[in-house]
Amino acid sequence: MTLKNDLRGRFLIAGEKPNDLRGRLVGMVLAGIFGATGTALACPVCFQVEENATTDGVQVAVLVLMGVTTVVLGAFARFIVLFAKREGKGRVEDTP
Amino acid sequence: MRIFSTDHKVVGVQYALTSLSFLLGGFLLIVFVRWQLAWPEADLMLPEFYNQLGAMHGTVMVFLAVVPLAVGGFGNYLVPLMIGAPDMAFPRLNMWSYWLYLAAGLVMLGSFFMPGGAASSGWTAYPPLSIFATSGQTAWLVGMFLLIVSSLFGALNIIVTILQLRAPGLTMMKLPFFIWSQLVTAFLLLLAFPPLQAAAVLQLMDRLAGTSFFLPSGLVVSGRIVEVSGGGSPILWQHLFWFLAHPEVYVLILPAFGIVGEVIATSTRKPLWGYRSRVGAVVFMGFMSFLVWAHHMFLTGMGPTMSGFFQVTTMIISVPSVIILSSLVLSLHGGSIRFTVPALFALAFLPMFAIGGLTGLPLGLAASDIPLHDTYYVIGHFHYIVAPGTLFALFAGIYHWFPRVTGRMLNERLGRWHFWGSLVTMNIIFMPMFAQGLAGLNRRLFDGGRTYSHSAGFEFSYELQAWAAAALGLVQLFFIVNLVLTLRKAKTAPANPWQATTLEWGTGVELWNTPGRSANDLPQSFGEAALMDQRGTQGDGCRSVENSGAASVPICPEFSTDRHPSPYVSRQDTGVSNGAMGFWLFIASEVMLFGALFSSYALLRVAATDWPAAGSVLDTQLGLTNTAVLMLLTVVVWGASRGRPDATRRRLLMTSALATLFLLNKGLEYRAELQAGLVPATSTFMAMYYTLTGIHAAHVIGGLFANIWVMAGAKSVGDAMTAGRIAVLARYWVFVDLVWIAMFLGLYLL
Repeated sequence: MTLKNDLRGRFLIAGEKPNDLRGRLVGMVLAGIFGATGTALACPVCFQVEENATTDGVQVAVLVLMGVTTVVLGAFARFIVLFAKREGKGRVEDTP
Repeated sequence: MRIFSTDHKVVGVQYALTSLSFLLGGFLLIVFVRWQLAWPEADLMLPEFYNQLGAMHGTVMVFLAVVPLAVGGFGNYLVPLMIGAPDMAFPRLNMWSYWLYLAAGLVMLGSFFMPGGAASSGWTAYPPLSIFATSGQTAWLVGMFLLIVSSLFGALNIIVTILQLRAPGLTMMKLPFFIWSQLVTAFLLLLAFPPLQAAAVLQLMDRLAGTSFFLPSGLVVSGRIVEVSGGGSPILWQHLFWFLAHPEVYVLILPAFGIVGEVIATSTRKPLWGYRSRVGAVVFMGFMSFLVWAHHMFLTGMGPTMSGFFQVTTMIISVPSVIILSSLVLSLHGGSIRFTVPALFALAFLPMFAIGGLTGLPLGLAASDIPLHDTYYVIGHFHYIVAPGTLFALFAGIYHWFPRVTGRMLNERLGRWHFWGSLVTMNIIFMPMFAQGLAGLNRRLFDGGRTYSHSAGFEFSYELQAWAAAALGLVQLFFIVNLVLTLRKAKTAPANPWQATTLEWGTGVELWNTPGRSANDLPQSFGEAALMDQRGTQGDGCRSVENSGAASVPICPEFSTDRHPSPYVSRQDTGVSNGAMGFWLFIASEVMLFGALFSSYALLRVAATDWPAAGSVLDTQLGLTNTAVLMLLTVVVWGASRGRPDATRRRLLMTSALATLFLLNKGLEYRAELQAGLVPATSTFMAMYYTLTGIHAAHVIGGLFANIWVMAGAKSVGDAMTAGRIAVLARYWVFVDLVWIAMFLGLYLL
C-alpha cells in the first residue's frame, strides 16, 4: 500500500479519491444563507408584507443592475487575467 | 503657472487648493448646525435654512472636498511621478476634469443665493421631498451632473495612466500601494457614478418635465393629494443613489489607506507588512463594493431574500478592510518610528478608522439597522470613517508631500498643535453621537429632538459638541497659518526630507523623463514595492540597475525614450493602446449608465399596476425603420474601419447621413406623439420612453459630431491616426446600436 501526501497534509492511498467535506460544507452554508433566509430572518424588514408589486420590482431592478455590473466587472477580470499572462510572458522572455 | 494648464502637477495643486477651500466652507456650514442644535431656543435660523445647511454640508464634504482632494489632488500630482510617467495619459481631459469640478461646486454653492435657497433634502436628495423642493435642488442636480462628468474624466485618466504609462519593468506587483489604492478608487468612480447620473436625469425630469419616476400614485402632501401622473417609486431613487453612494465610501477610504501606507512605511523605516495581501484586499474590496448597496435600503420593505443577500455581502466586505488595517498595524511592529506630524496623523487614522468600521457592522444587519437607521449613531459611524479617518490621512499626506510640492517644510510645532487639537475636538464631537443614536435621537431634527422625551439628558452633550466644533475650527487656524507662513518663506526643504523610498522623491525623476539619458541616470534607491519585496526585483530582466543597499527600483535598461507614443499604438504588456483603453473604459461607464436606466425601467414596469401593451402606444413601424437605419450605419462605419483610406471618407459621410436620418425619423416620431397628447407626464411608460430614447439620441448626436471631427482631422493627423480613430468610432456605433436594439425590444415589442 502506497501512501501519498496530497499537499493538504492528508495521507491517502494511491488512487484514493479524497473525501472532501469542505465543498459540501460551503454548499450547505450557502444554501442556508440564500435558501432559508426568509425563515431565519422572521421577516424583520418586510413590515408584514412579504411580497407585493413593489418588492418584486425592487428585486428585478437589483438583479438587472447586479447583472450588468457583473458583466462589466467580469470583462475587467478577464482583461486583468490576460494582462497578467502577458506580463508574465514578457518577464520570462526578458530573462537573460 | 498657467491657470488653464494640462500639467498634472498644476492640475493636482488646483484640485488640492479648491477642495481645501470647499472643506473649510463645508465645515463652517456644520458649525452653524451644531450651534442651532445646542441652543434651539435662540432662533438662530429657520428650519428651512437648517435643512439647507445639513444637505449642503454633506454634499460639499463628500463630493466637493474629500474625494476631489484624495483623488484629484493626491492622485493627479503623485500618480505620474510615482510610476515614472511624464504626465497623465490624457492631459487635456485632465484639465477639463478640474474645471468641470470647479463649475459644479460653484453651481451647487451658488444655489444658496437662488430664490428659496440651496438644496434642502439631505445629501441623499431623497424623493418625494427633493421633487417638491425649491430651485436649489435643480442646481444641486445640475452640479452633480457636471461633477459626475468631471469624475469620469479623472477616473479614466488615472486608470489609463497607471496601466499604460508605467515605466517598463515596473510591473503591477511592484507598484506602490498608494498607486493600487488610486487605481481601484478610479474604477469605483468610473463604474459607480453613472447610475447616479441616470438618477439625476430622472429627478430632473420629475422636477422640470412633470414626470413621476419617483412619485407614487395617490401621494398626499400637507393633507392634499398631489396631482401627478404617479406610478413611480421613491425606492427607485434609493436604489440608484446607493449604488453610487456605497462605493463612494470606499472612494473616500481607499486613497486614505494608500496615503497612510506610504507615510507609515516612511515613518517606521521599514517596508509595509503583507504587500500581496493588501493589494488582494483592495482589489477584492473594489469588486465587492458593487454588491452591498441595498444594505442602505433595509427600511424600504424590500423583502427578506434581498436583505439576506445584502447582509451577507456586507459582512464579507468587512474582511478586506480588516486585512488592510491589520497589515498597517502589523507594519509598526519592529519599526523605528519617527513621530513626525504626518506620522502622528497616519497613526491616529488607524484607531479612528477602526472605531468607524466596527460601529458600521450593526448597520449592515437588518435587525439592528432598523432601530439605528437615521439616528445620530449613523452620523457618528460615518464621521469616524471620514473625519478623523480619511481627513487625518489626507492631512498626513499634505504634511508628508508638502516639501515635494513646494520645496518648503511645514512648521512641526504648529503641525503638532493642529494634530492634537483636531484629535481631541473631533472625538468630543463624534463620540457622543453613538449614545445619542442608541437613545433614538433622529439626525434630521431642527431642534435636536427636544420635543421628544428620549432627548432628555442629552442637552449637555449637544452644547459640548457645539463648543468642540468651534474649537475644531480654531484649531484649523494652526494649519492655515502654517501654510501661509511657510509659503512666504524661501525654499529650504531638502530634496527628500523624510528619506522616503518612493519614486516621486527622487531627484532622478526629471532625468527619468529626459530622452537620451542612460540607465545610469535612473534613480537608484526608490520604490516602495522594491523595499517590500526584494524577491520581486530578481530575474525580471532589469539587470542594468543594480540593487544597491536596501532597495532599488526595478527598471529595465531598455526603457524607451519615447514617452509620448501615439494614443493608438499598443503597449506591449497590456496589448492595447491608450486610446483603445480609454475608449473601453468610457464604454464600461456607458454600460453602467444604460444598465441603471434599464434597471429603472424594470422596477417601474414590474411594480406598475397598468403598463401599455406592446404596440398600443408607440408606432412599431417607425421604430423598426430606425432600427434598420442604425444597423446599416453600423455596417457602414465598420466597413470604414476595415476599408481602404480613399473609401474611408465616403463611408464616414454615409455614416453621418444615416445618423442624421435616424435623428430626423426620431424627431418625426416625437412630433406625432406630442401631437397625440402623449407627453412625458402622461404616464410612467411615456416618461421612460422619452428619457431612454432622448439619452440615446444624445449619443447619436455625439457620434455624429465624432464622425465630423474624424473627417475634419483626417488630413492633418495622417492615415495611421485616422485609422485608429475610425476603429474606435466603429466600436462606439456598435454600442449605440446594441443599446437601441435593447430599447426597441423593451419599449416597442415587449
